[in-house]
Amino acid sequence: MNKWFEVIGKPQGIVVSSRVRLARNIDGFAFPEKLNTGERRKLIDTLRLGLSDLDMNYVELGGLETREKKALREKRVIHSTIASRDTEMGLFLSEDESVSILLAGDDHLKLQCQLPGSSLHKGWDILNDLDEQINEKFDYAFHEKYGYLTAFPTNMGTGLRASVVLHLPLISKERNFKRLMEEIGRMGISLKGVYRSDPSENYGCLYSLSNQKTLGQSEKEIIENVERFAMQLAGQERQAENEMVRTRRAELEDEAYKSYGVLKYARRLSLKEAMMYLSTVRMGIANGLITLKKPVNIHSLMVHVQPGMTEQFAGRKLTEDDYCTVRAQFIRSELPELLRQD
Amino acid sequence: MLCERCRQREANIRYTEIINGEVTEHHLCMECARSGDFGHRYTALFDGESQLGKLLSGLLGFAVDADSREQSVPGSSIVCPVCHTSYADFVKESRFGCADCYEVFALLMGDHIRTLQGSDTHTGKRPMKSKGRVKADIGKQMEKKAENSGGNPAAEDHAAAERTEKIMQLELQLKEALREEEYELAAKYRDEIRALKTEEAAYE
Repeated sequence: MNKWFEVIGKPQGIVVSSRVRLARNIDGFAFPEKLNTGERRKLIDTLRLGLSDLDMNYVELGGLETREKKALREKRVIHSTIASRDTEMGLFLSEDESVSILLAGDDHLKLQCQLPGSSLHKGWDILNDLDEQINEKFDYAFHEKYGYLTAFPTNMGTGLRASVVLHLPLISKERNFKRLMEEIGRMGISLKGVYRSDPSENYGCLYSLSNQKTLGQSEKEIIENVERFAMQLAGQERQAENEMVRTRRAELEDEAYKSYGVLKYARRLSLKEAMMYLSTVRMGIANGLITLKKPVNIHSLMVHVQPGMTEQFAGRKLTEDDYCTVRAQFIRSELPELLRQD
Repeated sequence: MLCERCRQREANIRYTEIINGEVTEHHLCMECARSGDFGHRYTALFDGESQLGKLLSGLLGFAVDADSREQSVPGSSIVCPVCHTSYADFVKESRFGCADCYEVFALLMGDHIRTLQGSDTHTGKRPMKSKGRVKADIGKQMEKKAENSGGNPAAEDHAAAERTEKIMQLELQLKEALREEEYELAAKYRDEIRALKTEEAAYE
């Protein structure tokens, strides 16, 4: 079965994907950080048993190889501090990996839904239902004034983090982009690189936009606010791309074809090279500058060339050299032929 | 102010470190803060999840003025009775230990929740209470009422009035204690108020 990010045939717009996350804690246990090994085990077992009728696969994070945890982080199922932690944690994951529930991470439960394109409302509806299903089994830690109680004060209230991944190949190269990132931050929204926080190192130009505040606004308000900023940024990028296509089409076409050539024929590709060229090809396809024989999901390739995913693909631990070879081999096999080669 | 590391860029991160009660203030730019060797905890600062959370230690740390730098954070000896997280731990880690910490540290945090979140009151979704628990709560209240029903109604009214008066008085003392930064005392008043309010709710 295809994972949610691998689905082919959807338009590859500037809004790449949407994610909604809910932090929840149940009554009767201290937050995970404060639990000893036995209590933590009891918490995980209690939750796992209570949620066993959900139609989801279950894994213990402790039982996974490092590369498997790395791959989960690259697919944005768990975040990096969770991936590098060695305490016991449990994970429910739906077949297409769009819905997940992390047990005993920073909070007792972290519910998450990721979907392609602009889908925050749909993601919220799915999580809201799941939240209610869980609440039928467990009482949540809730405070009249402070809302849902979470380990970090930055999640209290709704416990909701809504985020949208945007592909911004042009506006992220503009000189004032860093300033823009800071300015957005002052409005309670965070904009940062999906793979690196510094734009100059965030190869592939994927940016994530999310709410910083979780208290005082309703879930719908938070989602609409993030959506509004996402549409604003996507609109700016669209305008910039249209303008470039209008004024410098030949240049853009050349870049798209060159990038395609490297991706299709290179024998070794570093992560930086792979991400940069994939980003250029993605923009080329989206703007009709380059056409392939079969539809392809470039974002899926961007996820698959990450180090953990590359190791997963190889099925073994890789050396620095191996990474580049395996990555190039993977892209060659996945990238369809050009439609016109005149 | 310039960043204390590179001395080139503007410092836009103020970070207060409290180690064993000793307070040091750092002024850094984003770049140096990100590349700095703050230990694994501070990489999390730029790692999304707890971005603002970690800055809370800075926010709360500022409550300490220059004169009291040798002392520990005010109220740091206050400990959550349920999970034993101390206020000092909370400030350092910007992390609650359990649901009860919210009540215990709420007073000490004062307006910082608002600074951090832009609001201090939840307006979103609410959980449903499981039927079993609601029943249990009602049961408890019924018991208390039953215990009390043998008493004389006038005496009850008198007791209630006394209680209300006592709560008001304690609330004044609490404000005074907070103003004086007598956090231990404040916590004591808060607990007394809470106990009286619970009593009040039970008789209503």
